[in-house]
Amino acid sequence: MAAAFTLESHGDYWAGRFTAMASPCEVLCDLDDEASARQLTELACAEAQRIEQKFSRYRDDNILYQINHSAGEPVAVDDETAALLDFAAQCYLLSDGKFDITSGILRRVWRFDGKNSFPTKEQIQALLGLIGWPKLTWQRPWLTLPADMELDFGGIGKEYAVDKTALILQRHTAASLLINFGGDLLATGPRRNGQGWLVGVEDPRRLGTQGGKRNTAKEFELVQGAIATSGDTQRYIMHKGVRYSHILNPRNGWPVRGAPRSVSVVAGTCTDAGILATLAMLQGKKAETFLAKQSVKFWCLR
Amino acid sequence: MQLKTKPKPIRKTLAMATATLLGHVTHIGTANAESNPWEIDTAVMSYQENGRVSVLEPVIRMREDKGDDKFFTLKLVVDTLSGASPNGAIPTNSPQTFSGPSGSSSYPIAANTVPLDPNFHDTRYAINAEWEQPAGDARHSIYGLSFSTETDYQSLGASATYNFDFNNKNTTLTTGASFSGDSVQPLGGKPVAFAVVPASTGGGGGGGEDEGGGGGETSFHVNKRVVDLLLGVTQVMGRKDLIQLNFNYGKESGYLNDPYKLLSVVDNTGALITAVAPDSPYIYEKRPDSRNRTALYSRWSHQFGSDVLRLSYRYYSDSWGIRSNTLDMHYRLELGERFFLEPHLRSYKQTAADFYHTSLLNTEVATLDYASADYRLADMTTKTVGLKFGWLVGKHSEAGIRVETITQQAQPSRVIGIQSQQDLLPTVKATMVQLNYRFLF
Repeated sequence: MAAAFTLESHGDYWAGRFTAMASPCEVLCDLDDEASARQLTELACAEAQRIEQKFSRYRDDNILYQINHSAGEPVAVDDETAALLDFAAQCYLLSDGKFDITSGILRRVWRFDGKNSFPTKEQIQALLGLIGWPKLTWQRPWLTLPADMELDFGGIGKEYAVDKTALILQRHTAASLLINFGGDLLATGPRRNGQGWLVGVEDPRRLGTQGGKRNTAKEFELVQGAIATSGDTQRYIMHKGVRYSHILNPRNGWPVRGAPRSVSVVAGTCTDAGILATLAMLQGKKAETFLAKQSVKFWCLR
Repeated sequence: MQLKTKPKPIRKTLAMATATLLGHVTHIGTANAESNPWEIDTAVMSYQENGRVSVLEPVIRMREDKGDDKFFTLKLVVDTLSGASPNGAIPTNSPQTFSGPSGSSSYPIAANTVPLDPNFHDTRYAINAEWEQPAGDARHSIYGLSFSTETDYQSLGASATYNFDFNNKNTTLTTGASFSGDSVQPLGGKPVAFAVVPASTGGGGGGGEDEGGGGGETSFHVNKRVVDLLLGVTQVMGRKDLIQLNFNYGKESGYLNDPYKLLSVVDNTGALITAVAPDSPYIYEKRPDSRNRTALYSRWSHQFGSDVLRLSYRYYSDSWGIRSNTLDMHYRLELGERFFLEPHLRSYKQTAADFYHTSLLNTEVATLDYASADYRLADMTTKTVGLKFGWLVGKHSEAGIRVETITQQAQPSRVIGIQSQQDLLPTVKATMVQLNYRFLF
């Protein structure tokens, strides 16, 4: 199936654009040949849509649906899902339980639409029993998820898709590429002019507007590596004059207090950058301290 | 007591987990800013004036990227100065003898030779720390602290600079202020201005019990304060040009004399004259105890292909009557991917301070408020010609060598009688060689 995308020349590079994972996606190709740019965009679009179809929680025909509706029965999962589950387990350990792919269920009571829909303590308490990575049994390839619990790969899916797409595209071209899925992005190497890709950081919705608007507060030349952003200035709840961010602490079910509005991190892979950005948000007031310890380049917007 | 263990960085463990997830790819790219938060600049500079002072100066500068656009910079400098420096007296057709600053050592100067004080050696240690961080949406701030010390001089300073960005970052406004409080302890005490320098018997330590000399006060501490204010604008003009304009105002106050500089007193034939028999024909200098400086600096940078031209002009004026004009040009010529050459030309011209006198008539001593024979306050032109060769050693390191020759020509304020037989202010030629190595780590 040919995916819908657009291709546009920007002088010394091509930009392929499409929508996937509910986000605007683009692939910038540092080459002159239109046919190559078209092929690379097709490949990127196909990979992004494949990952979306496989791990979206809004579909009923994928592995995630099978897991979440297994009613406590073991489910055999494929290698890719298994690798993501292994990775999620590692992240749970590394974060002292703050990064937990079973915590998505909290969205049933927390709606971050800027309004004042505030849940009661009882509502939250009721959900906490259904949260906790150690409650499930994972013995490759068998996953047993207790009934009523849910998995959600939303916290890593987009960054993972960026990395996977980059790996696929690199098999087809030696040209420098910038892959940008909704603000999580990766550059594969220096451009022909010896420079990197100019990316805007801080406002997550304006990332990667090479050649376009450049009125973002920070600009960063990304030669090789990835930037991921956690946080969204539009998603919050106002309650009694206090602004609650949409980053939830899975251990108590409440929004993390004192977290930056957004965190952007530079790392070798988009997945690394994304996890570090999310973990930083979960540190609340100590986000900057946490990132400084990791020796990564980062920006926090407060 | 329970010990809390500090959280360890998780980045490496996380990278391993990601590598497994992505099929044993350790990284798709190595982020350029990620693994090298330290930028280290090392340099050694050697400066040699023909037959005069030489300076050896190693410098190390370390800059750490703390993330979130915060930077910490530490700079250490050691200056080792040795050799001889003019003491301010004029050359004459007969030999002269001077006592050293402590009064304990004296040095003879041959006839028709510029008197140079050979006891010029000192080591200066300086440390400078800076913290740079974003401040609000479109600006960032830099705070600095500095300290330096040498045998007879200590300086403690602080500075703050704010940069504001406008106009899609095409315009940057810079405002800055710095303050330093210095303490001077002249060797042998603070000389009384215009006092007669004690005569030297030429025997070396002849006036031993008179340590400090007749001109020395008991005060061993004198102070100097320096305040500087900066206002600047940097404007990006299109893709290839950058223009910078800076205005600087500075005020120095306190002890501004050079305690080791003398003035020769002469009669109207130009010959040295001694007022009272055992005294010497030399007196200590006296400068105003404040100085207001203003400077206007402009710089134009232009990109020619991959080469860059930097052209700057500076106008300076101070309350001592010195006006100066400086033209400076650097051209960076890229030689392929890894090498570059950078020629440097500089031309400097200044007018003399109002109170600069190459020598003083004995009838003037009582009438003048201030006087100094420090040739650095004279009418002067300086020409610099230099060349730097740079080499990008690896992805994260750069080495360079810079060689410059400096020619300094000062003009006497007045040539009296027989002084015309002397080259009162000979041309000074100096050579500067600098080696530097910069790397990320």
